[in-house]
Amino acid sequence: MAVLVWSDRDSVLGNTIRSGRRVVLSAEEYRAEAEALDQKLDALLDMAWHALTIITEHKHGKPRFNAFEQVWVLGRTVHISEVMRQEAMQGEVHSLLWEALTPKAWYGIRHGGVREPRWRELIPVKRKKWQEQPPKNRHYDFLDVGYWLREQQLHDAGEVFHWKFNNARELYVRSSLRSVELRKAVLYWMRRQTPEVREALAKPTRSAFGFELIPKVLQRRFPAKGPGSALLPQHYPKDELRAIVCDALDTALDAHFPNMTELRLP
Amino acid sequence: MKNGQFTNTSINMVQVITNIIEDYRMGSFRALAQEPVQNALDAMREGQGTVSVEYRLLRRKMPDGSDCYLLTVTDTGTTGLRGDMVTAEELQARHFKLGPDENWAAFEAQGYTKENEDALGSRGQGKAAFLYHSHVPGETRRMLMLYDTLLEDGEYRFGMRFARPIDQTLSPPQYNADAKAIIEREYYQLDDNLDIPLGLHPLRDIGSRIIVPYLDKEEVQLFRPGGELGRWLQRCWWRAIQTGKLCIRVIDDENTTEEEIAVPGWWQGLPRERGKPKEYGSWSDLPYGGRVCVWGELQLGDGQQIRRLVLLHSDSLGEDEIVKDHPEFAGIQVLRGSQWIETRGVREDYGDYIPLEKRPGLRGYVEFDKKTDGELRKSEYSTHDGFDGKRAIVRAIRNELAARVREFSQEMGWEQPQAISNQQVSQREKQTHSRFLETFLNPNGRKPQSLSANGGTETPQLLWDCRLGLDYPDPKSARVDWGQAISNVYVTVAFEPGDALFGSADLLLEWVDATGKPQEVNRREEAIDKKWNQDRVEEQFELGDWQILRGKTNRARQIECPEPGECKLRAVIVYRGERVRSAARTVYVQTDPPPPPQKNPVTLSISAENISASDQKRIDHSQVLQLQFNARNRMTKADTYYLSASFANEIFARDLPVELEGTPAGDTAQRQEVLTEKRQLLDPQRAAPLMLDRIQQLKMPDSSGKYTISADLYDKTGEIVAHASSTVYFQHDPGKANSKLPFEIEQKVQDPMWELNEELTVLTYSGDYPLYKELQVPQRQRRSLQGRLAFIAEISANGLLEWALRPKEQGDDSNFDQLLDDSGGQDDSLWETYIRRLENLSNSHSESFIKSGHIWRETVAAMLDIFRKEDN
Repeated sequence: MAVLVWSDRDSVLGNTIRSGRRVVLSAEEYRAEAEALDQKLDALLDMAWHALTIITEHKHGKPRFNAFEQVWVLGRTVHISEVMRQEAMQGEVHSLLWEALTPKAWYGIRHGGVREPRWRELIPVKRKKWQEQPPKNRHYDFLDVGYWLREQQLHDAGEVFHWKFNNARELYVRSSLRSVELRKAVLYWMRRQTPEVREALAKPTRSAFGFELIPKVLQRRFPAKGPGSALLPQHYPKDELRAIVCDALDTALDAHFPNMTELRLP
Repeated sequence: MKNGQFTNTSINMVQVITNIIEDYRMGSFRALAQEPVQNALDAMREGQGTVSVEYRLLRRKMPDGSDCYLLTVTDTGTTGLRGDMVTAEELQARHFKLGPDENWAAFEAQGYTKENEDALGSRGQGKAAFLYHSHVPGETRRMLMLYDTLLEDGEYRFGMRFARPIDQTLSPPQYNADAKAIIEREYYQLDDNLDIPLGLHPLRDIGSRIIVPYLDKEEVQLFRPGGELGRWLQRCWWRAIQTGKLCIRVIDDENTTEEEIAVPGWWQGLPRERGKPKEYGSWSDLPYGGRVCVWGELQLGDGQQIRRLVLLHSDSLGEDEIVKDHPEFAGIQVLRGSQWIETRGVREDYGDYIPLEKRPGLRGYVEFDKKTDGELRKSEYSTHDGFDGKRAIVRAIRNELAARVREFSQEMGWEQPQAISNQQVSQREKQTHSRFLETFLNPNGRKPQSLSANGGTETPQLLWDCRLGLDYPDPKSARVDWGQAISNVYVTVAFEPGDALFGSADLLLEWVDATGKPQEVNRREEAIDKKWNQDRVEEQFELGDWQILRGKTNRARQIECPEPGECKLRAVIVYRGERVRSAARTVYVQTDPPPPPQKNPVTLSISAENISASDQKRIDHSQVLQLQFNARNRMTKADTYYLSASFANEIFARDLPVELEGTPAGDTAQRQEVLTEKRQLLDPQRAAPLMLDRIQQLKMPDSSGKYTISADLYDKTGEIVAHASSTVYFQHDPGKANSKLPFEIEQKVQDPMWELNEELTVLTYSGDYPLYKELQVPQRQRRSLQGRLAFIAEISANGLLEWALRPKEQGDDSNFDQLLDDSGGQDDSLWETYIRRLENLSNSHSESFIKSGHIWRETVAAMLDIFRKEDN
């Protein structure tokens, strides 16, 4: 893949070409390909911005952006736009695309250098720090998570993670728990819980009891490596996976919060 | 016989010019950006602080209505092309020497030297730089340039050079009013009806102008403002512009656009421009992020010195190069007399000090005092685009620059000082490491090459397999007492492809006694034959029962073994005089074998091969992955186990029952094939190719990534008894371990003698390790085990053992199997010892730490013996 990465130094626009391929001397060899991709990204960001304006809640006439919705929109738009099917993207990791997409949206630069400041709304507030990090250490985890969430409808995904980006990331960082089948099973379990349990699970991940319990329990059941890692969630039939997930989460709920048991729905 | 006369030969000037310009490594535009400006600066008029050079692109209509493009290069602030015209005869009479003021003659002559100048400017590069861009219409390649000059005394002169292809100049030149009239004329018609479009204004300022008509229309864009010409001018002359000596403009008359060549943004602003910098380096922050350091008066020896060295880094700077063969801004520009000559490349010369992601943002330049400049000029190529690296002054400069880049890198926090000073693995060390690993992990590299009957042409390489089956007197133990027999001995031989065998192969049965001495007990000559049109040939040979005797044998199928101890019965395939494959079983004669291991008696291994490209680890779209799951049961009892295995989203086995035969105590546990699968891997974003015959396709979850094949073996209670995993790099670079070899070698600051990283991909050692430091750097000899190379072999052996044994902690035999299998083809005494020790090592979990360590050291010693023998 070759991408065009925009920079903005004191309002002076610049761009460089980055590629994951083995280049002979410089990634500039792929500029034409990267420019074509950059044009496609214009359309992608327009589409994402329009989608975000539709789903974002407004309070007193002002939009209240939710990081979970922002990343889902970005991931879903990348998927729908079929930019991943571009020749420039064949056989490549996604991180380079994120490296191009993020500054393009943040600085709001269309192909040709025309400014588009509204695209900045697509970047979750807490993710803005990416630009303060040195390029080597820049993390685009919000885009990784967004692209991963694309497999589910917004409402279903939101219900699993209580509309919280950090909850989604807690599951995403555990590589054995990334299958959509598992998320569907968790959703099935979640819908069987009382509002009190669901509210408790919606708490920030670092609190005494919160969503973090779910990935921790599930990772014990589905380790990413070592003994027991031969069968992952996606390898089980739907009903069996549901049963495994419900059993593991119910047991954990009982062990940690015996008082909650009576609140559980039959 | 009459004496002949000498006549002048005709020189193909077009070819001479082409040759000169093709010597410019960075192309004709660098020559055009460099030579005229250099000549103008050399001809700076006294009292003038600045020389101006103007490159102007003009369009003219030809009589037939077509467009013709001209380039004019005008210098002002110079003396102009002064001096008289000198004929070829006069020049010859003056031994090709011209005075310093004879610019006109110098511009028209070829192959002269000027007083007080070296030979650098005498080859005609300046003229060639112009003429090369002229493409006079006609069947043969012709080049033309015209030039006019206004001198201090008011004289106006016009000349012309025509390479058609012989070299011609206008003689005599036109003067004053005649010259101006020609310049102003719409067309200047030559005698061969060639119309040269002019229509120019005569010069008003003292200086000179070169007119290059008939530019290549396809290249016209490159001459316009913002084009390639402008970018080369900036690269070559930004420093002279910065110091105010020079002003360059590129003008496009057709589009009325203009570009004044500017100093690159990163070099603008003090304190880098002027003043006397400190020797120890002065650091400052850049307003747009990043840092800069300036050094001054760095001594190079012999009174020569670097006047100024500036290094700068900013993450906001990207690469800015025109051609990719040689660095331009990407590194340290070496300037002579404010002119860029060459760049020491950030990638090529300082790649060891600058991390990959920091390289685009690094810039630097270095300039020298007058004396050093003069010395450097002697080392400069005539094309002014590089220095002769053999010269002491050039080497001294390059060493000093490398030291300063290292210092810069340390200060920027990219590298730890000690990591830079010592931690470099030499090429010979890397080669030794690779050869060592290949000795033990590259069975194909040691296999004999099959030759076709017509001699010399290689036929497909044969892959051999050999298995030895037998029954011990006690099925639970490998012990055989004197007088007892090993019964039902049989050998299974297989090879593929079935029709690649040339002639036939022999089968041998050998007895290896407790001292390691082999004796042949049976030979079946020409027993193994080819089979036409068969992918794989497999044959079984029944060899009957064999009695072990202490005394002399008196019948067939008896083996004399007077000494008790650990012996082996070995089957060997001999093909074309070489032992290509063998299989052995252990026999404890009159001795109790050790008990089965307590820890991990059952192990599992995975072999994953890209069979579409067997020389690479990476697997790409539509290539075929072959997977083999094998198990070993070291328990005496056969048992049933259950296998679950998956890869990406596919599940290969779930609770698949697997019958594993037991292993008699003391015998080597045989590898038992549990499951074999082949899959053609597909990129989900790409169209699937036609399905290969009998090979299932597997759509991967993503276009690129690292995926794990994972397998668990359960017993009847559901407890996991063994686990194995293997990594597949789907359209993903394996990184450190690019080759088929499992790990690379690197230096790192660390205390232990060696370490293998968690991923088992990098073996590290410290260049500061006391023993390593004391060892000699090896001389160029063939012997590998000497000095530091012996150290490398030693740690490679240790690393290889750890690579094979660490996964066994989880019952994963994948690496161990590979190490064992790849040594199976060799059965001389050294390899025999190694294999035995390797097997002992794998069973040594239950031994004490001391005992286990002893076996480890023994195995390393056996490996070094083998390496010394094979490598020498």
